[in-house]
Amino acid sequence: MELIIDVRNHFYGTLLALSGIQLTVSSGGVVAIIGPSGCGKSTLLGIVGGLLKPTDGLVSSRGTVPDGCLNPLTYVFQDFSLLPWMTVSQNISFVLDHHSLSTVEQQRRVADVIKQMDLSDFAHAFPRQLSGGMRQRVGIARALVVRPAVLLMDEPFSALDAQTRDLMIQDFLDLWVRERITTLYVTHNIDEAVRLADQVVVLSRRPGRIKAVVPIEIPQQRRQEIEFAPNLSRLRDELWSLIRDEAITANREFAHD
Amino acid sequence: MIDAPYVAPVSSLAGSSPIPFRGAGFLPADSPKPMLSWIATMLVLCIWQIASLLGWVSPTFLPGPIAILSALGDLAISGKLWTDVSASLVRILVGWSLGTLAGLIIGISLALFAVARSIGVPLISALFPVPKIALLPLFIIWLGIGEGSKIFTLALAAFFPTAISTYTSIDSVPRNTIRMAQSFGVPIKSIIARVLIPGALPGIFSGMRISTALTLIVLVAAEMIGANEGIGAFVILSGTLMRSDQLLAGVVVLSILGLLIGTGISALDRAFLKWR
Ligand SMILES: Nc1ncnc2c1ncn2[C@@H]1O[C@H](COP(=O)(O)OP(=O)(O)OP(=O)(O)O)[C@@H](O)[C@H]1O
Ligand SMILES: [Mg+2]
Repeated sequence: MELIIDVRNHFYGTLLALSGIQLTVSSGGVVAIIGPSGCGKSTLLGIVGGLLKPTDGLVSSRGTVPDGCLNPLTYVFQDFSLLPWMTVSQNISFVLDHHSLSTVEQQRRVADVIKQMDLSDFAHAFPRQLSGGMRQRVGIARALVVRPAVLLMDEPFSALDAQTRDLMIQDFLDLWVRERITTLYVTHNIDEAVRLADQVVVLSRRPGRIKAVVPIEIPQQRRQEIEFAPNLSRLRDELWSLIRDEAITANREFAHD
Repeated sequence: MIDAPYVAPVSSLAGSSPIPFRGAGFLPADSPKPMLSWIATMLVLCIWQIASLLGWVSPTFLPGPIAILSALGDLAISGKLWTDVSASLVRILVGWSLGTLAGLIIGISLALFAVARSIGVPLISALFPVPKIALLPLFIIWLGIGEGSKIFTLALAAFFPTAISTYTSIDSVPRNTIRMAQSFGVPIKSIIARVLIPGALPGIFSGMRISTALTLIVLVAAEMIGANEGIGAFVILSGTLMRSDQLLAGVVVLSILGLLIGTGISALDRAFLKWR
């Protein structure tokens, strides 16, 4: 599914958070959004996912959804947002219960994603018994169980330690290569953006505007290969210099607030 | 080839001094000692009993444990104990249940509806500190001296802590979990039943601990003011007859009742909150 985003303005009260965001996320693509803290990345994702009404703007979609899709635009949250009183499998079936699936179909779907995310041994564990990485795997399993057309991920791995994050990124790439789910991905981490995205959108400091759109043409599966290392390193530098000025100015503004 | 395990070289301790142990926090260092608690309790009871046997304190002033126990036995045999206990139990069960039910309903409405909140919260905050027992005479005028006025007072005592704890704990369920449910299109009824209420349950249970303790106090006070049956009535009657042994037997029954209620809530806690 393709997303056409046109957010002219978004205000919180009198505070202008976003301005002039025009962006198309093509079907099966991964678009990463980076920008300094407080520039409106989460706000943008909230608007796209229908959790926030833009003050002035419109988000539309075009194209087909996968077979059995129950929730076209689906979130993966930074804080995982699991319900601590439900087991892993209950947390996952929680988002299916209000759909009229047969019990067999529902159980099959839950079992499938649990297996896919390597959680079989923990299906009946409570979230407090899981490590951070496992918790986010539950978050991703819960998102996949509804067969989404678009994944909206708000810093999905930023609460994890560096090694776990690395493994999760690889897992996510494998998944994405298999299923080609359109993904809009918010991150602070340039490395993460450069490994996952085929387009990196750089936002300016508040009010967030699009400062640059940087395409990455190397296929995701081959980015670890040595021959592309110089290219990717140049991209990283370019992105870094794009957000550095913004970040420095944003920090200064914070200090004066 | 097999790697030999790494062995750290041991350096000489000459000229070094060991780092002293400075404590591990005020946690009990080793396992609790149930025997010790029993022995201490028995010791206190024995000293008390000996003191009353030797006539150090007069039995009217403070009867010994055996005297209290035998008074309790007499009451159980004569059947007086059961009439009083069951009268009190019915009052507290009916009153507390009604008050708790109303408190839950009002508490949930306060948390969910802005209108209910703007009307209800100031009203409830203003009425919560009023000692409910002070209103019993008014309720007697309204409802007569019978069970109605006592049960109403008890219900009121249970209502306020429950309503307040319910709405504050629903309020403090993380907004993010609600947004999560909304982002999956979960209908509002399921969000209330499966996100808000379970998330608020620990807070609701601590509200119940407060409300049961309060209703027990109000129960005894109400029975002392005007009742023929009930543990409170029995205690006050024993007092006027100078029967300290029976009076304290009544107090023992009350503490057992309080203990049982506390254990009951702990059991509920364990059953519903095993995810914590
Ligand atoms: N509910 C709200 N009410 C008022 N202001 C808000 C609200 N949510 C966000 N803001 C403001 O809007 C701006 C953008 O916030 P947003 O959370 O979208 O930033 P972000 O780019 O996701 O930041 P971070 O990288 O720190 O997550 C910030 O200045 C923030 O203070
Ligand atoms: Mg954010």
